[in-house]
Amino acid sequence: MNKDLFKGTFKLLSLILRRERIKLAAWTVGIFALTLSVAFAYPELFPSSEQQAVMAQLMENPAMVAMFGKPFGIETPSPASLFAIEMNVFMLATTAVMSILMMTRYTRGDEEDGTLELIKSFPVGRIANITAATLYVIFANLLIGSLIGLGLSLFAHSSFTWSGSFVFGFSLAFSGIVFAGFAALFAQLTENTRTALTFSFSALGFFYILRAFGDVSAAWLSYLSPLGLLHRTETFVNNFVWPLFVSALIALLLFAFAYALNNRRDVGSGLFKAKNGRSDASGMLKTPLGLSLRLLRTSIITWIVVIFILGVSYGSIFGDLTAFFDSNQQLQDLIPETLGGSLETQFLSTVMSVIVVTATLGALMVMVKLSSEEKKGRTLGLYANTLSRSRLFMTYVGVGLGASIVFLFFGILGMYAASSSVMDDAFSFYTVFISGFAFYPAMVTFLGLGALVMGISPLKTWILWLYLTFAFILLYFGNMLDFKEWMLNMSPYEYMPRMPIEDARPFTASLIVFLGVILGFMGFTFYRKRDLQG
Amino acid sequence: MESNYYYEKEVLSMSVIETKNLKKSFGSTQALRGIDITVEKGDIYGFIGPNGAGKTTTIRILLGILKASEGSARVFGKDVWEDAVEIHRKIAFVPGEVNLWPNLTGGEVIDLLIGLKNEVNVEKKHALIERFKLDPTKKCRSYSRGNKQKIALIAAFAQDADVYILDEPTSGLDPLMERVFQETVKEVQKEGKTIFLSSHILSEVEKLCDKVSIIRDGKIIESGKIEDLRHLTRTRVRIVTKKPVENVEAIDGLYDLDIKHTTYTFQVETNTIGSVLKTFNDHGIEALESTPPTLEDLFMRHYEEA
Repeated sequence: MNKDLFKGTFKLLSLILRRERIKLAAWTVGIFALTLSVAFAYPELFPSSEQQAVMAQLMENPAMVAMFGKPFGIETPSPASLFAIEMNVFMLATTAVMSILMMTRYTRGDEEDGTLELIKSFPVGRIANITAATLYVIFANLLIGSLIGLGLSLFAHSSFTWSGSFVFGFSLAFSGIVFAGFAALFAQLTENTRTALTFSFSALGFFYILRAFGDVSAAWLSYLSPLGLLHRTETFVNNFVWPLFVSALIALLLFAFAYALNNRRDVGSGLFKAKNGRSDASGMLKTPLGLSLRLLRTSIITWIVVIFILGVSYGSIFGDLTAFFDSNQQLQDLIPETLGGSLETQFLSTVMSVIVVTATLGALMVMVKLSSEEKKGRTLGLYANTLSRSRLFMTYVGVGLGASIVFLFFGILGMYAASSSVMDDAFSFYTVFISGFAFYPAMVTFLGLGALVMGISPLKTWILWLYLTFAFILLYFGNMLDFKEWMLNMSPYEYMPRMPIEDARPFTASLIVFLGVILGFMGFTFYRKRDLQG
Repeated sequence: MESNYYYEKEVLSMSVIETKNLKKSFGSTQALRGIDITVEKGDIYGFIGPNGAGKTTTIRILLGILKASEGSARVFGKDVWEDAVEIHRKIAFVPGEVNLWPNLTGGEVIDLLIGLKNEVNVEKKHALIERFKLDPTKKCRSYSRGNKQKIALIAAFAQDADVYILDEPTSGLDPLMERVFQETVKEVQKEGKTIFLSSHILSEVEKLCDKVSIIRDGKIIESGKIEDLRHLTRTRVRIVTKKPVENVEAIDGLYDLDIKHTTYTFQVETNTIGSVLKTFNDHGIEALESTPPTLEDLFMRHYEEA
């Protein structure tokens, strides 16, 4: 009776490939270029085996382990194994993000837009659509994985062996496929794209943090996380293949579950139903601020929780950090005491930078809600009332600025709470606070840029995510990779002092804030003068 | 007090909506090529045209959402771009495509859209919700298209406005609700309000409007009172005569002629109908049927010219 379940799958697949060709090319080129350029840099950065050994030891410290994953092959490091230590977990997460976005777009996204309904009126099988989406994501991941495998083995340093290169490439591919499985499942459970994406990205965040905990203190936890599991391929050291098979099995289970749900439920519905609500609005809702906060309520709370947990996770590594330094005299000699402060203090700013970037991302997402409202044609009705453009624009910019402070504060609070409970000689709250807010001027610049992009067009927000990714890479890998001066100059974070080990730079900070204000004001002016989309 | 008298007179005679040579281009495409509209106080003004003719673009310019490339557009004598917020105090609007916040309820959206401007008149709102038979407790994502349209209509009519701008307001409504809508519009007109109604449903415009403008390809191609426009159209006539009429084709002002024995079916220009009938009368009319001119004929004629 179900013989036609898959009918039309390949036609739908070619339709997806057609719709997605530019995005697919951009992701492929982006991930490939990033991986290869880092791989090329390694042999130059650490030419001698002594330098490689020092680097390997540095990667053993818990702060680094939490961020980059457990290092393998530190006794006999090579440029390739160092590369894998630094890049593997990060790249696993990157393909996961890509796959979540792709899978959600072509399952719940199409369903919400109503295009799926149209497709279903043609002679296509009940699960043809989700199958086509699955095949597409698998294809994209295998393409990227193979290209990286080929690229590394052909063009990179001789320590990048054939087997290692391909295991590295395919670990990325399987990470993408597993998280596509999660995305497919959540697309069945929820009723709209936003919730589906929130669930999937929360899962990714959860597994990232689980892996961090596991790698630092309880190894078995890492095996429960797909990221930790795939990192256990121990690329360029042992090149284990079994994690690939295990994750393929996990993906298979997730997809089977998602398909079963998809086959049973009605088009347009989810497991979590929308409830009925109030018949009148509260007084608060009738103001632009009240409306924006109501629309953003769930996102803001989610971001606060996520950033707080991130702060707690990173704060909790400081206990292990102390133990690590105590047991490692060699490393203590390596870091000059003249920099001032304890050894833990040296790493505070590095760890904090991850919180800062997350807070920036969250605040930007909150602010550019105005653009997504415009894209969806929901500002038209507001402007036909007596609301002015300046007021609505300033409301969202204000909410973004407020969110940036609140998000950063909760990250700092989480980090302070966790670090003070695990350290013997704990940081004062002021130390943690100043270390985070030292970056705040750069966040203002990002928000200013966000306002400028919103002011120009609601369709250009991708510029922000691209630029933030770039700035994040500079910050995240800045300690290890030798970035060119002009590249560093392009990120506002790089102008910020690493407090408390560096001194405050009030003049630079005011300039950076001023830049943000100028950008924001330009956005404001453009927004008031341009045609709105709806 | 003479100057004041003139001022009053001027205000009274001032058009509520007035555009002159309004043009709008998006890149290289010209959406509007010179639109002239004059809407007087108390009018129900029909703005009709096919899809993509420029109806929504015109309305968005009137609301200050889009900026005109050329020409002027004034509402209450004020510039629609510069004084948008001021104008909107006395305008209620129903968009052509109703996009609502999926996680708010219908009732919340209605309150929100009214509340941004006036104090919510709870009685009026509840009366309208009752009339349009809406369940305001449901989340917007679960409303059908017709129900979303009702929300926009309720929010607009519950506002205390002088001008109601309605962009294809009945799309998605069932015939019963369409009638409720028409009644509501007429009541609003009785209160001395002005209604600007864009539509491509001619029967609706014919039933409601006093004046119409027909827009095609960004230009107004016909404009005036409905009765006046009817004169521009042709009447369809069917005549049976006793004796055959010779040389029917030569008679001026006949269109779509069809002859079966002595039965003649044709369309005739309204202004030549008298002389045409005279010719037929000479051959002894046995039966005569005529269908009154509809806006649709006029409309179709302009369509065919395209």
